[in-house]
This record gives sequence, structure tokens and C-alpha cells, in this order.
Amino acid sequence: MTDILSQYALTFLVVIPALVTTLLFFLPASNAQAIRGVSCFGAALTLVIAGWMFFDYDQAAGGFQYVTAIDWVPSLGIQYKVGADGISVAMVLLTGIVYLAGGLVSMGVDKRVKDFYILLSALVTGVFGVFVSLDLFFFYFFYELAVVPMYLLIGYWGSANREYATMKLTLYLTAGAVVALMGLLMLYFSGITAEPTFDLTAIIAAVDAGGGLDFSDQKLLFPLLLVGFATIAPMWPLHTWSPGGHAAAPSAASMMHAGVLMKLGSYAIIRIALPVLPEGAVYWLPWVAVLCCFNIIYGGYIAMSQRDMKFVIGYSSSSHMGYVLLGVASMSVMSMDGAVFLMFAHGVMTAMAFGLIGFFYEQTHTRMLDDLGGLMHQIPFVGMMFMMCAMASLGLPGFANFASELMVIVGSWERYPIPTLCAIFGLVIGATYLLRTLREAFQGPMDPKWSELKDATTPMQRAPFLLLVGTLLVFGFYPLPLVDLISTGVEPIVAKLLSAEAGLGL
Amino acid sequence: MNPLNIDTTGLMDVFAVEVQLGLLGLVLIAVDLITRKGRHSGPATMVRLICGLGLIAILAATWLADPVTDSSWGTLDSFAVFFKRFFLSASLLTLFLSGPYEDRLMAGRGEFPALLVFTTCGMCMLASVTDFVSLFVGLELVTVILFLMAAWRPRLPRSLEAGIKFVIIGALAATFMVYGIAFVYGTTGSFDLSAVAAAVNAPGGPSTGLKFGLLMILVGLCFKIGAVPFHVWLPDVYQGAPTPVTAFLSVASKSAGVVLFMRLVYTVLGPAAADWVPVLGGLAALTLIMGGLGAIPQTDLKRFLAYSGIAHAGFLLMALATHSQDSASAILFYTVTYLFANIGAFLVIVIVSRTNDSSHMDRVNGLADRSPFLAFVLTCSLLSLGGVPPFAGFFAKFMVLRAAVADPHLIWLVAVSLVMVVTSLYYYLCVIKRIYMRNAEDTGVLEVFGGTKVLLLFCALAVLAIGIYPGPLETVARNAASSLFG
Repeated sequence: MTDILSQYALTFLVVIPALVTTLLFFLPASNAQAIRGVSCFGAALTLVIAGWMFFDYDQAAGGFQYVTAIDWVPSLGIQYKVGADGISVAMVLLTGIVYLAGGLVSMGVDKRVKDFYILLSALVTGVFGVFVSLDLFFFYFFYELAVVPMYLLIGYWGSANREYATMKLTLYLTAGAVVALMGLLMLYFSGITAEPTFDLTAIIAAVDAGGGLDFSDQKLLFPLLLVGFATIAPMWPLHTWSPGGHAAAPSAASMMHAGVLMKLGSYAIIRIALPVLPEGAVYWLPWVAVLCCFNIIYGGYIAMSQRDMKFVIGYSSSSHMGYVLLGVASMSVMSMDGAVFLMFAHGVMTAMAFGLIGFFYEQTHTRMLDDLGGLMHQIPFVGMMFMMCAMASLGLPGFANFASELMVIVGSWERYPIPTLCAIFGLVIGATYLLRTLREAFQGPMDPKWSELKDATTPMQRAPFLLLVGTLLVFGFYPLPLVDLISTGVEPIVAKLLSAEAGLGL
Repeated sequence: MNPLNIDTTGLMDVFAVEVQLGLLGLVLIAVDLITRKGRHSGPATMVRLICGLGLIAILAATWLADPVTDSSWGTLDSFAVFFKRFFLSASLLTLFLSGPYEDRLMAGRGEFPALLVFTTCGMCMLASVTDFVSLFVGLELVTVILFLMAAWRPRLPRSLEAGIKFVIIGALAATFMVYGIAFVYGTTGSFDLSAVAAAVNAPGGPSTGLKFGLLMILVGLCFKIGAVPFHVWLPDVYQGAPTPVTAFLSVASKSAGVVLFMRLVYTVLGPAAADWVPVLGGLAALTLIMGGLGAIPQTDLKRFLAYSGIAHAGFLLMALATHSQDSASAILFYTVTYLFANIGAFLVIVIVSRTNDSSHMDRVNGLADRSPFLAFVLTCSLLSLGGVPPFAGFFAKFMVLRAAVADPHLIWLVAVSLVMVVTSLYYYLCVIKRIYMRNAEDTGVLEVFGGTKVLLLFCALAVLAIGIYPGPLETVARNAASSLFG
């Protein structure tokens, strides 16, 4: 049993949501209970596998494990090849957690339940696929697969201004994707490997053996991959799709999107762009360090002026992604560990925030801070959870976000002191808007019109939030296992960057 | 036995499919005459049945035939066989597609399958041609019958209008073609493709007259595939023609142009195709942009698919401009995926426009409520046309792009095409938005009958299956394309 699992664990992760999608087609649309049951069971199954991998991954050995490779289109050098290193395992665990929480939170969806879960599981198939693919073709295939279902999820089940927001989101992300595709195809033909191949491990092995591209080619290619993937990251000024998209999306979609999809961008940069084009990375990453200051400060200030709670969280997400990009740009083991850890922690935190806002929005039909207030009296569980979430987001010790942001800041100080100062100042901005949001929505006197609101009382309603906050607390108090795991993936990449830097003598 | 002393070696082998199709067409006309009652035509069930079985039999027989490459009449290489099968399948699918449409025809129900078979015969001939004379004959056989089919509903002014516009532009394109052929013959003294190829690649390069002739021929072919500068007829004819004819035009007729384009670019131009990159690349870019921007404001589904078809022709031209073996197999793959996606989309249009004979985009509003199944099929088709995974169109576009990126001179064209990919996603999503996010004006539940449902499911599953596991089709396309390169 364990043999089969360790050999095909990653394939299971991709296939289970795909099977759920297929199975749902055959369930009658009227049987909402069965549809929800199948989806959540599938989600729980992926979380079990992801959790098992978290404990099973051999940190001493490192590298890509659970590798499966099947020739898919041999004449074009395309294989179905999956494998996971420490970074992938962390991201897969994040996806499993958010998928299950999103599935549970969506119990309240009552319009076209079947279509909703079909699209959600198709999207998750894509997300898992990206995190485990070691073949550039399949990487791109899954990446697009993760983006497009979002169009309908937001467009049909979303809220105000959804049609504009969802079109903008889809076109932005596809535009980013095709820029990256051009980069990937040029990489494919660049002659790094003797035969053109999409096999990422073969390309990286060839680069490590000294067969990398010339510095001038790397300088040209890296921006294509960077801009392409940073669109979804989202790096300022390519972020404008994100807050509107998150705000218009239904709960589960914004949880998946802000929690997991946005991480695909930074993940792709770390997984593909850095190890394959290390010299190009060394040349261009300082620019990322500059742009991410805009993410942090500009995103933070915009979040401060928002009145719609989802927009607050949406802009705060692009602000926090600035920390991730800073951590990547700083090229130290500590900062990049912190960046990946923050991707995980922020994913859990922001999924929880969107889930909670969605929970009371279903009843209040408003998220405007001016209409809300004093909700803590009426819905204490949700209020409490939101408070924990805000505390995690502003970096209170004890939550995973604190540990990861601290690592980014400490790790980046040496190389980029000024952006790091911006990042530290960003924490103050974050505290301002989060505390203000908390106060205006949940504290103070309550408007009597909210006296009918229902709190999350049943275990099923509470479970997703407890799962998310539990994750934040566990890894906040004891981050070591996760950080060690991430480190096994980050260290070889940082080593490549540093040796490229030494080779260039910049 | 042979008074004219013509060497007929291989004639019947090369054109076996065409002869079978010709006979089938004659049988169909005879059956129609026998079974018809009175002046108005009744349901042409018998004719359709025989036509379908005949096409299946002819299609199956293509697997029995041996390749013929040494006849002076034409060639039956794997490339020709691939396209013959393609045309036969497209014809078969169109025959099924015209089933639910038949009740809108007052007359000529029985002739329709016969004409379909005759025009398919012309297309199959084009797949085998090795000289400019039979090329022109085959092309006219196809086009003239299509003129008739476009005007198949003579009481409907827009159908007549479609036929007339088609004739005028078609005639114009044909004159370009004949003029070009005359120049080619005048400069090389031969109609034979390989002789012309030798002249084109002769040391010192082709003469100006030959270049001019070839240019005229290529421009004439742009009419068939719906590329700039002869793209203007598409929207009007697609909109006006009966929907099954439109579907057939969009897949089979376009592919007939593709066959000739490929023969000319890969066989006749050969290595000299490198000199034609600016021409083909320029036409490709213009076609992509024209189709992509033209599709955005459309409110009629068939017009919309016409512009989308122009954009796809741009993609095919881009692959032709790449003129590598990879690009040739990409084109073959692309045409097959385009066949399934388009037939699926047009079949849905036939069904949704049944009540008031309108193909306005409003007809798909709220389709997800009226028929989730139709909504699913149309969404699969449109996303496949838009090149979204896991549908077949994604891999088709991927193959074309992959082939084009290999040529460093075409990076600009790849960039243009990628911009147009994003644009195309916009307009396909605009239709999908209507399907899922608008309320239907017409709230009646749409019925889909047995055979139609099977065909719809087949198209949707085909685009999904090819998209997820493209390997087998890619191998078929690669093998077929390899025969172009000897």
C-alpha cells in the first residue's frame, strides 16, 4: 500500500479532483447533498495524501521524490512527469487544506451546485498539477486549467461587478500565461539539452552540468518568464486584476484564488526561472526587489482606504505578496525559506479571511464597513475567528505569518536594506488597516438590523475555520518541520544563484 | 481499347475514392427520384441513409487501398489519404448535422446529400493533385457546388444573397488563380507541380514571372481558407447560408484550401519557401488581426464563427509561413481539432435556432438553464476554439506555436498571434457569458433527440480526449505530413 502511495502519490493528487469532476457529471443536479459529499470527500482524500507526504518526504535525501514519468507525446519531448521537492510538498499541503476548507465553506452554495463543484474541482486539478509537474508542457497545461474555470466561478456565483472583474482577471492571467509560454518555448529550443525537451529536471541537470545559456540570452529570456508568472503573483504594477477579482468571487473561489492560485506565480518563478536562468535572475532580481516595495507600501495604503472588506483583504494580499517577492529577490536561504513559508501561511490566512467574510455576507448582503459594526455581539465565533485572522495577518507572534515574515525580513536585510525597511514599515500599515477593519466591522455598538444574523454553530460550519486557524497556530508555534522541509528545496536553488552571482562578479 | 493513347496507369488507383463518390452521388439522385412523392419533397430519409452508409463504406475502404506515388495523374501518398479521410468524415458529420435542419427546407431535401457527395468528391481530388490543371478542375468542382449549397433556401433572401456574394468573390478569386496558373505555365512550360518545383528551386532563383504567377495562385487560395485579402465573403456567406452548409464551409471547404496551400508551400516552394516568409507571415498577421478584431462586435453566432474562422486561418497561415515538418503536422492536427469543435458548435446553433430560424447570439442566452447538455457541448467547443486546456484546440495551438518559435525570424509573428490568442479568449468568453450568466428570453426546454445527442456527445468527447491525450493523433498527423517531405 505504502509502495503504491509513494510511487503514485502525486498522480493521485491530480487524478482525485479530476475524478471528482468526472463523477459529478453523472450525479443528478437535484441531489445537492451527494454532490457536496463527493466533493468534500475528494478534498479530504487529497489532504490526507498531502499530509502523508509532509511526514513521509525524506528530508535527508532531498531533491524530487515520488517521481513518476510516462511518455505522453514522445516526438515532441512531452512527458507526464511529476515529482515533489520540499517546496512542492509545502504547496501541496496548502492546496489540500484550502481545498477542503473551500469545499466545506461552499455548503451554503444553493444555485447550480453541480456546476459549482465541477468547476471547483477542475480548478483544483490544475492547481495540484502545477505544483507537482516537472514537465514544462504539463506545467503550462495545468496552469491554464487552473485559470479558466475561475471565469465562470466568479461570473455566475460572484457578487457585485462580477462580469467585469472576472473578464479582467481571466484576460490578465491568460496574457501573463502566454508571455510565459513564449519564454518556455524559447527555452525549449534554446539548445540547453541536446534534444529539445520539456523535461524540467533534464534542463536543470544540463544547466548544472555547465550547459546553461549565455548571459545575454538569459538576460532576454528571464524577463519573459518573470513578467509572465509575476502577473499572477501579482507583482506591482500587474496586480490590478487581483483585488477586484477576489472581491467579486464567491467564498470558495476567492479562498482558492487568493489562498493558492496567486502562489502559482512565485512558485513558478522559484521552480523554473531561477534554477534554469540563474544568471538572468541575478541580473533582474534587484528590479523585483524595487517593485515589491510598491506592492508592500502602495498595496497597503490602498487597502487602508477601502471600505469593502473583501477589497481590504484583496489589497492586503497584494501587499503581502510583496514580502514573498522580496524574499525571493534576496537570494538567501533564510529569505527564500521565509518566502515559501509565507506563501503557505498567507494562503491559509487569506483563505480564512475570505471564508469568514463570505460567511456573514451571505446573510448581510453587504461587506461595506460603513454598514457593519458590532457584529461580535451577534456572531461571536465568526468575530473571534476574524480577529485571529487579522492578528495573524498583521504578524502577531504565535501565528505562522509572524515566523515567515520575520524570516523574510531578517534574510533580506543584508542584501536589500532599503526594501527591507519598506517591508518593516509595511507591517505598520498592515496593522493599521487590519485593526481598523476589525474595529469597524466587529466592535462598537451593533446596528439592530443585524440582530437576525446566525453564527457558525454546527461542527460542519466551524470545521473549515478551525482547520485553517489550527494550521496557522501549529506552524506558528512550531515552524521547524515545515521550514526544514522547505529548506531542502530552497537550498540547491539559492546555491545556484549564489554561484551564478560569483561567476558574473557583479 | 485506348484510342487516345493516354497512359492511364494508376488513374483508377489514385482516384478510387473520387470514382466511388461520383457513383454514390448518382445513386443518391436516382433513389431520390424513385422515392419522391409529388412536387414537394418529403423527408429524404432513404437518401440520407444510403448516403451515410455509402460514405462510411468509402471511408472504410481507404484503409484497404495501397499508396500510389508513381502515377502521372496524381498521388495517393499518406498526406492525400489523411485528407481524403478528413473530407469524408467532415461530409459524414455534416450529413448528420443536416438531419435536425431538414424540416426547414421546402424543397431539395433529397438533392442535398447528393451535392454534398459531389463536392466532397472534388475535395478528395484536391488532396491528390500533382498538376495545376486537375487542381483547378477540382477546385471549381468544389466551389461551384458550394455556391449552390449556400443558396439552398431560395425563398430566404439572405440565403440567396449569400450565394450571390459567394459567386462573385469566388469568381474573382478563380480569375486570380487562372491568371497565376497561366503565368506559371508560361514561364515553366509545365503544369506539373514537381516540374514547377524544380524551376522554383533552380539555381539563380525563379524568374519574376514565375514568382508573380505563384503569388497570384497563393492569393487565389486565400479565398478558400478565408484569409486576407479574400476574407470578406466569409461573414456574409456564413450568416446567410443554411447552417449545415456553413458548418461544411467552415471545416471542409477551408481544409480544401489548406491542402492546396500545403502542397504549394511544402512541395512546390520547398526550400524556396524561406523567401516567401514575409508574404505568408504578413498575410498571417493581417488575417489574425482582422479575424480577431472583427469577431469582437458580432451579435450573430454564425457571423461570429466566420470571424473566428478567419482568425484560425491566420493561425494556419502562420504555420505555413514556418514551413517546417513540425509545422506541417501541426496544421494537420489543427484541422482535425477544428473539425470537431466547429461541428459541435454549429450543431448547437442548428438546435437553438430551430424555433425562429435566427442565429442571433440571444439564442444562447441562458442556455445553461434550458439545456445543460447543449451548454456543455457549446462551451467545450468554444473553449477548444479558444485554445484552452484540457481541450484539443489548446494542443493544436501549442503545436503551431512550438513550430513557429523554432524559427527565430518569426518571433514577431508569434508575438502577434499570442496577443490574438488572448483577444480570442475574450470573444469566446463573451459567448460563454451569455450561456451561463444571462437569462433566457425563450424559457422552453430544448429537446435533443437520440442521434443528435450522440453526435454532440461525440464532438465534445473528441475535443476532450484529443486534448488530454494528443499523442495518437499527433503520430497520425506526423506520419501523414512526412510524405510531403519525401
